[in-house]
Parts: sequence; C-alpha cells; structure tokens
Amino acid sequence: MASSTIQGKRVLIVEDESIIAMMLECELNDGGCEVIGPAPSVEDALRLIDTEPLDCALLDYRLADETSGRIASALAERNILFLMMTGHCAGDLPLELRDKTLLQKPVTGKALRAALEWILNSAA
Amino acid sequence: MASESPFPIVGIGASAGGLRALEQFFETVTADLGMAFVIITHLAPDRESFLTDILARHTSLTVHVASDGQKVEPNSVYVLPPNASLTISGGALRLRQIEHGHSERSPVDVFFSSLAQECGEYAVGIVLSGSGSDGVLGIKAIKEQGGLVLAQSSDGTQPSFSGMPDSAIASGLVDFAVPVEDMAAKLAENRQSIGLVDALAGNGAPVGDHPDAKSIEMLYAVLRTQMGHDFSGYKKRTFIRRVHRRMQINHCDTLKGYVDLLQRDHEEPARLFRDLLINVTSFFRDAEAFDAFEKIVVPRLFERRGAADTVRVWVPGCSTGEEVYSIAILLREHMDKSTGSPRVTVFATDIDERALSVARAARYPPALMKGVSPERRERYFTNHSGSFVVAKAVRDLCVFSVHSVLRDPPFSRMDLISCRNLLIYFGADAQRQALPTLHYALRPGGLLFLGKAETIGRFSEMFAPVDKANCIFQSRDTGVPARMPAFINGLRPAPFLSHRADHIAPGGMGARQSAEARIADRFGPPHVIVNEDGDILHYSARTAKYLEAPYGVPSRQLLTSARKELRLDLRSALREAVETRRVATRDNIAFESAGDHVEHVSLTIEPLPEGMDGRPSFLVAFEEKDVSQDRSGDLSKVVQPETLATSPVEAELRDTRERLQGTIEEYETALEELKSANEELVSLNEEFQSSNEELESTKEELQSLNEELQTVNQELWAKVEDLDRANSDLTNLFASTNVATIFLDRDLVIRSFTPAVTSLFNIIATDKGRPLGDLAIKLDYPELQDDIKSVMRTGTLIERRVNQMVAGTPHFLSRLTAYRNTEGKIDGVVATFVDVTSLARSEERQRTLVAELNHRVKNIITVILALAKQTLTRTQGSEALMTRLYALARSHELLARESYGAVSLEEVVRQALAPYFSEGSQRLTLSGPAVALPPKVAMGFGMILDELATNAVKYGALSNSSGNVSVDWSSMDSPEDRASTLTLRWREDGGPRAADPKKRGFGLTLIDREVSYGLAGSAAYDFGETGFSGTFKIPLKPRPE
Repeated sequence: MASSTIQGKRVLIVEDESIIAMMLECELNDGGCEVIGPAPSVEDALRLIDTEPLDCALLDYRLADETSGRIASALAERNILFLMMTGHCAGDLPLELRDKTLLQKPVTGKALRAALEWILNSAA
Repeated sequence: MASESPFPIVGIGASAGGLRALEQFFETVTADLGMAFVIITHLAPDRESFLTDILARHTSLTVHVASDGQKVEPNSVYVLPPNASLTISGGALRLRQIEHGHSERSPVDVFFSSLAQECGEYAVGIVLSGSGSDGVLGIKAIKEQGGLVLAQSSDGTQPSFSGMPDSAIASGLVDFAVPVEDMAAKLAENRQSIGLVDALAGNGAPVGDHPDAKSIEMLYAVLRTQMGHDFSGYKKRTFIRRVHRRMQINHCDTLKGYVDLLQRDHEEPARLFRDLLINVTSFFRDAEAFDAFEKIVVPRLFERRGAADTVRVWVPGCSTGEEVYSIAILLREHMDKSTGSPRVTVFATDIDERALSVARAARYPPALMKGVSPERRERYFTNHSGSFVVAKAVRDLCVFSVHSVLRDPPFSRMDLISCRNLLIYFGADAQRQALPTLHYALRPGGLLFLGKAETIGRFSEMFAPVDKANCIFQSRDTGVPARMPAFINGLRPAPFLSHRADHIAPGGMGARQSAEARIADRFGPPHVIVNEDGDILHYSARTAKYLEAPYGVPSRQLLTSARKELRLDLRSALREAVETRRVATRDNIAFESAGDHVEHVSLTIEPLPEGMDGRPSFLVAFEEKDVSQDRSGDLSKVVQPETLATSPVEAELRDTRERLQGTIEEYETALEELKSANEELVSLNEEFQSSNEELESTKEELQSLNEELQTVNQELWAKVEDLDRANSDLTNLFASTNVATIFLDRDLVIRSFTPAVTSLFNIIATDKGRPLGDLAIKLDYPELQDDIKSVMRTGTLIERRVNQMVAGTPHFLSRLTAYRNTEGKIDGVVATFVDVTSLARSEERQRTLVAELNHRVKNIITVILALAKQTLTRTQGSEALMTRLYALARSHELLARESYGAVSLEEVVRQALAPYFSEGSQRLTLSGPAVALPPKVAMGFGMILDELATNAVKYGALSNSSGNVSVDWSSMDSPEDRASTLTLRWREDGGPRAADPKKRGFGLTLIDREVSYGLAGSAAYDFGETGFSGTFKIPLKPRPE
C-alpha cells in the first residue's frame, strides 16, 4: 500500500452506529487516511463539512431519523467526492442517488479502501 | 289405506282467480290438520307452472308436484302439473300425460269423481274461484259417496270469478258455502265427524239391529207427513248414511236428537229430503226401466215414420244431461239399424242454466259411466284425456234450453216426454199443474216416461198405463180439443182464453139448489148452469130447442152446442155476465126451430153465488117469446102495414145473420191459420235454439280458453312480481356497491351502470344507449377500447392495474369480462373498476418494510463484524466476543418483540442482566419509574449494561459471592425543548475495592463511545472503596406521536 492514492487523504465518516463508526475509522486509519469525525448525525456532519478541509467522505445513507441526502447535497456543492454506504438495495434509494457509487453493507476494509481509491483516481 | 287409519283427502278445484284464493286458503290451514290436499287447476298444456313455488311461500305444509304412483300423505299438498290429468286409486295418485294439443277441460270433475270412489266418506271437495262449471259433476259424485263439499261463497273475500263456485252452490250439493278464509276452520270443525258415519252405519252391522231402530221409524214418519214421500222402501244403508251426514252438519250426536231437530226446525226436513234424493244421474240409471224403454217405447216412436217426419222428444228437468244422452243413445241405436229413419230432436230443458252448460259440454268423468256398456262406450263416446265425451252423432240430436215446466209455455206435439224424478220435487199443487201441461205437450197417443217413485195420480183420464212397472204411460185422447193451459198472469186464467177440461167439476150441488129456487121464482124456463168458461155444469129439462149436439167430439161447451143463431148473443151475454157479475139479457132473438119456423127467445144470464169449489157459475135461462102472442098483444099498438113490412126486414136480418155467421167461420179459419203460423214460429224458434246452442258451446270453448289465459296471466303476474323484487334487489345492490360496473352491449353501447361509475366517467343516467367511446374517461387507460373489443372477440378476461403511475389519484383494478346471455353466447362486455388504492398503499408499505428489514439485517451484520474485529484485536478472547454477541441478540429480541417500537427501560435492564443473576436473586436491585425507550436507545443501553455486568464479574461486586448491584433511574423533563433527560445509575456494593480504571480496558471505552456517540449523552464513573459506580445521562427525544 505504499503508493496508495488514499494515503494521507482527509476522509469524513458519517455513521450513526458507534461500533460501525469505530470499525470504519479503524479501517481507514489502516489505509493511511486521516479520519474526520466520525459524525453520528446530519447536523454534526454539516458542521464538520463547514469547518474541516476534506478530500472525500464516506456516508451511511440511513442515519437515526433521517437520510444523508442533505449531506450529499452539501458535499456535491463543494465538489467533494463521497461514497454512499447502505444496507438498502439500490432500487430502494431515491433516483438521484442510484447512479452514485454505492457500497453495500457489510463492506470489508479492503473493498472500502479500493472503492475510495477508485473514486479518487477517477476524479484525478 | 288399509293398513293406516284413513284420513280425509281434500280435492281443491280452482281456475281463473284461483291463485289468490289458494294463497288465502293455505295461509289459514294449520300444519297439523291431518288432511292431504290435492290441487287441480286449469292449466295451459305447454307451460311450466310456478304454482308449487308460490304456494310453498304461503304454507308450512310440504308442497309437491304430483307424480304418478305418489303415495298421498297427510299434511301434504299435491299440485297437478301441466299437461296431465290426475286421478287417485289405492292411496296413490295416478298421473296421465295428455297428448300434445289436447287439454282436459274438466280436470276437477275427473279428479273429484275418482276421489269419491277412492275415499268415500273421507273425500272432501272444495270448489274455489273459476269460471265455467267444472266441478259440478265431481261434487255430485262426492256427495253420493257421503263426502263433504265446500264452495267459495260470494260474501267475505269474493271469488274473482264466481262461475265455478256458483254452479256448485246452485246444484244444491254444497254442504258449506263459506268465504275462502273460513274454509280451513270449517274443515277443522268437521275433521272429527268425517268418517264417523262409517263407524256408525258401517262395520256390516245390519241397520235393523241398530238400537235406534225406533228413531229410524220416526224419521220415516216425519218425512211421510212433512214431505209426503215414503222412504221406508229405500236402501237402509244409503238412507242412514245420508241421515248421518245431515246429523254431522247439524252437530247432532244421536238419531233421537236429530228426530227432535226435524220436528223443531221446519227447514230441516226439506234439506234432508233433498239430500236423500241425491242421485248420481249416471247413464242408464235404473237399467230395468231403460230396458223397457228400449223394447217398448223406442219401436213405437219410429212406427210408421218416414224420413220426412220428425220424432220429437222432450226431457224436462234434464239437469246435467245424463238421462238425455241415455235416451238419445237408444234412439240413435235404433236409427242406425234402419234406413230412412225420421229426424229425431230431443229437447232437453232445465231451469238451472249452469247444469245445462254441463250438459251442453257433454263431457263426463269415468265414475258416471258405470251404466254404459263397453260397446256403447266405444261407439257413442270418445275418451278424451280421462273423461268421456259424447259422440257428435248423439250430441247433435239434443237441443238444450232453459225452460220451466211450471212457468213457461210448454212445447207441443211431442212424441215422448221423459220426466224422470222431477215430479217428486214438486208439491201437490205443482204436480196438479205439471201433469196437464205434459198432457198438452204430448200429441195424442204420445208416451210419458216417469221415474220409479212417480205416478200420474188422479189424472188417469189423461194418461193410460203402457208398462205400469216401469212407469210408461200413453197420452189419452180426452176428446176435448187440446187447449194450452194458461201460464199468464200468475196462473189465473182469463175468461174465454182457455177451456179447462180438467175443471169440469161435478160439484155445485148447493148452486143447483139455489138455482132451483130461482127457477121456481121465474116459472121454470129451460136453462143450463155454466161455469165462467162456458162449460155446462147442469142441464134443465126442455133445452133441446136451443141446444143441439155439435159435430165432432162430444162437448159440453155451451157455445159449441147452442144453436148457431144463438151463439153470438150467448157469447156476448155470457161475457157481459162474467165481467160485470150482473144479470145480462138479450131479448127477441130469432132462430129457426124445427119446421122452418121462426121463433123468438130471450136470454137471461145471471151469476149464481159461488159454489163449494169457489168458482163462479152462471144460470143461462132461455125464455120463449111467443111471437103470435106478442103480435096479438102488440096489435093494439102496431098497425098492420108495419107488420107486413116486417117480413122483408126479417129476411134482411136473416141474411145479415148468415153473413155474420160466415164471418165468424172465416174468423175461426183465420184463427186456425194463425195457429199453424204459430207452430211454424215455434219450430223456427227451435232452430234458433239449436243455433244458440252452437253459440253456447263456442262461448264455452272461449270461456275455457279465457280461463287458461287468466291462469297464465295470474302466474305471469306472480312471476313479474318476483322479477320486480329481484330487480329491486339488484338496483339496491347497484346503489350500495362501491364497485363501478358498466354493462355494454354487442355494439359497445352502455346498457346500464352502477352509480360508482360516475366517479370514473363523465356519465349521467341519460347516457344509457350511448357508445362508451363518446364519454370522457377520468382514468389513465388508453387501451380501454382495444381491450373491450378483444374481450368481445375472444371472450377471455382482461385484468389491468389502472392509474398506478399517476400519483395522488385512486388506483383501480379494471376487469373486463364477456357478458354471456342465457344461451352462453357473448352479448356484450361487463367492465368493472375496483378501487384498489388501499391495496396499493399496503403494497407500498410492505415494500418499505422489506427494505427496512434489509437495511436492518445488513446493519446488524455490519455491527457484528465491527464488534468481532474490535474484540478480537483488543482482548484476544473469543468468550468476550460471544458474550457481546449474546447481549446484542438479547437487545434485538426485545426490540423484535415490540416490533421495533418503544420498549420499557426496566425490561431492557432485566433482559441485559438476566445471564448474570439467577431468577429472583437478592444481589440485584432495580428501581425507577416506567420509562419507554426508543429502539436505538434500548439497543445502546443493552450493550452498556452488558459491558458493566461483564466488568463487575471480572473485577467488581460479582467477582465474589457477597457483592450486589443496584440499578436505579429517573427521568426529568426539561421544559424548553420538550425533551427529557434520563439518568441511570449503576452502583456496585460489597465487592472488592474498585480496580484501577486503566485495567478496565476496552469495556469502558465501548461504553463511553456508545453513550457519547450513539446516545449523545454523558457518563461519569466513580471507583470508590465500596465498589464501582457509574452515572449515565441520556437525552430522550419526545416520542413522535
């Protein structure tokens, strides 16, 4: 993983489940990323987006009482790439999100890192 | 019926308007009456009847369509099916199919007469509404066998058509004429007494041994004195049977009681008499008499008669015609044997128009055919679906008309009068009037055929016996010119209109005595005594000068025996005397006596006091005027020339008189001519009668057709009513259903639709008849027309979801099915639109749920993976992983139990700590108010408590055997954001001194993380001397309502 694209990237994690957030943080740290957050709610995430410089974001679609739709919009506004992660099937998502890069829960650390790499590469 | 106790079988005859009567009747019949009912109606042959269904709605009895061989059970109703005739024998119904095109015109008679033979006393006949006279012959048969007869009377609920019941009532055979609604009660009332007669008179016990033999003698006596008829010679069994029938009807228990009633009630003897005289007037009744008739009477009738002659027969009181046809058959038989037979006309008359219509129809049930030999049956009857119809050859001989022997002018020049069993109904006066009438009607030498019990009484001068045993008599020529008896003005003859030979009474002795006294006063001129008709009752001496024996038959008529010259004056004087009841005189009447001698006479006619017979008589005195004496006496007054001048005057007078006489003779000739013209008129009248006859029978056929139409109409009405009801049900269904349905016909034109359709199409009631394509549709269903056409073509159902893609509108399931007519052919399309909005919503919800489940399952697996990863890397203990997974599973179980809704905090605590404490353990104390936790919070607490307990087991209060744990919580509302804060405290006690927090490791990290990150709360720990304690403050959002 020496010359990985994700090395040193600032990645925002938005995930309401603490244990999952811990795991994701762990996985990204393993990949050499600098984790921002994790944020358990939309409000926390939006605050972090406003205050922290970000390279990309990893969003859980369903948060406790809402979805991360607003976060996605905020990120898109700033041209920050993000990965969507959900337990839902693609068909159950709103149309505007269906074509986004989507990770199906559960996701292995390897796949997560590969997906991050892919979006960062494709943007470059 | 042999094995079981017999029960009454009720035959019910009904026709036009009978449906309503039947309904009313059966509504009042109780289910336990113990009788069977057989319904006979006039039905069109090729129509299904709904009578069974209709009746079943009005009675609790079982209603069957009668079938052949069906056993008759009590409390059941049997209905005659169309196209069949019904009889009964051996306790079972016999059904006979009728060939197509024929119909039984008197099915009621056919069934009733077989019922009478089968059941005898247990036969009950009921005649309900209907036109015509079907049933009359049937009830005759029932009465003859001792059964009971009821007919619908016109009071109460009137029969719609009273022809049938009125005919029945007019026959005098009906026991009870009551309204239909009272009939069931009458039946119940008489139920006990039916069959009683059999028990009393039957069982073979000779009636003579009956203890009431004395009462029977009394009965005979009462009848003899009251009715003048002796019944002691009658068959005792029959006699007793009929007496018992009357007793039943009068509710008399004993014969003696009935005899008392007879003496008390003046009507009853007449009723009993009538019942006793009921005969089935079957064909050739009294075979012996008819044998004699055939041998003696028939040959005489045809004696010396050529083809141009007519044999005329009169049957007065012919009733329903059996006797008439019996005679006609005998005559026809004789005619068929020889060629050149004369014409035969049988005039049959009765006063009862209804009986005559039965006779005219000439159809008889088999029960009345017993006396007819098989050959005659074959030859003179046609068997027409169960009843016998008299052949045309016989029928054409007979002419029927309404006529009363007593009231109407009689027929004349009859060769035979058959008057059997009519005179016995007449009282003595009527008999005295009837016999001379019959004598008048017969030509001299004509024959009279009477019934067994009848005699010619005191009229032996009119009739001579031919065969006394069989009551055949011959008309005597009495010598008196036949004069028609008077029938005008209430039987009181006017003077000179008639000469009643029968009243030449030999009486008047008192009158003679008084006359003699007067004659003595008047010096005894020759005289006669006459009655008002001019018949001489008494002659005095010396009348020869004025009277002479007339030419022809001997006569006592004054006017025919007086000398020609006197007749005119006698006639006028007698009339004057009769009319004025005063003395009438005619003076100086000249007449030619013996030896060309003109003599003069004065007539004095004087009424005499009435004689013993109450009839007036008159004295006719001839007073001789001596002309010469007169002349000499008058000489003083009259001069000679005048006397001389008299002779030409006298001659002229004589001429005048002769002319007058000639005129009188001419008048009499004219009278004769008038008479013969009258005869011609009479025969013309007869011809009219016979065409009338034909019209009658045509009318009858029309009536029966009408009858059938009426019945059909009735049933049609009932069916229309049913249809109306069904239609109204459908209309209500249409209105109440929320399912939009459109019926389209073959051309896709709207036939009908339910109101719900208006929400889908711009449609109003007047759009029926418009093509569906014309209407604007509110549905997103562009393929509708094509689909409908495809269903029309293929007949296969097409089902579609409509409007599914249009948000905010109701969703519909459209079903297009073929409309098949009764033959199964496609005759249109039925389009149904079912609102499935709620169904669609449910589906949507379900989809959401599945997605949710998907999400949760994947999430939980992710959590497990994260746990595993964290636990395995940090503590290297698979046991710790398993414990955490179990804790997770327990929290999940609790959530699943509450369907991922709110759960109670206490439950969460108990569930989480259950593996660490035994049931009811003293080492755990819980306290706190009831708090409901949202699922996520519950999950978090589950994990936190598990970590706390794990630590307690490893390092704290649960590591020894004496420590204990208490968990308490409280919740505090904060007013500003409507949220509340839950504070939960974990306190350990009695364990070893709390260890260094650093040693607690990952467990506390996990708790901290969960409290602050997952639950957005805070945690505080205390590692005191007595043990570990932790306080957790968690904000609770208000539960969404």
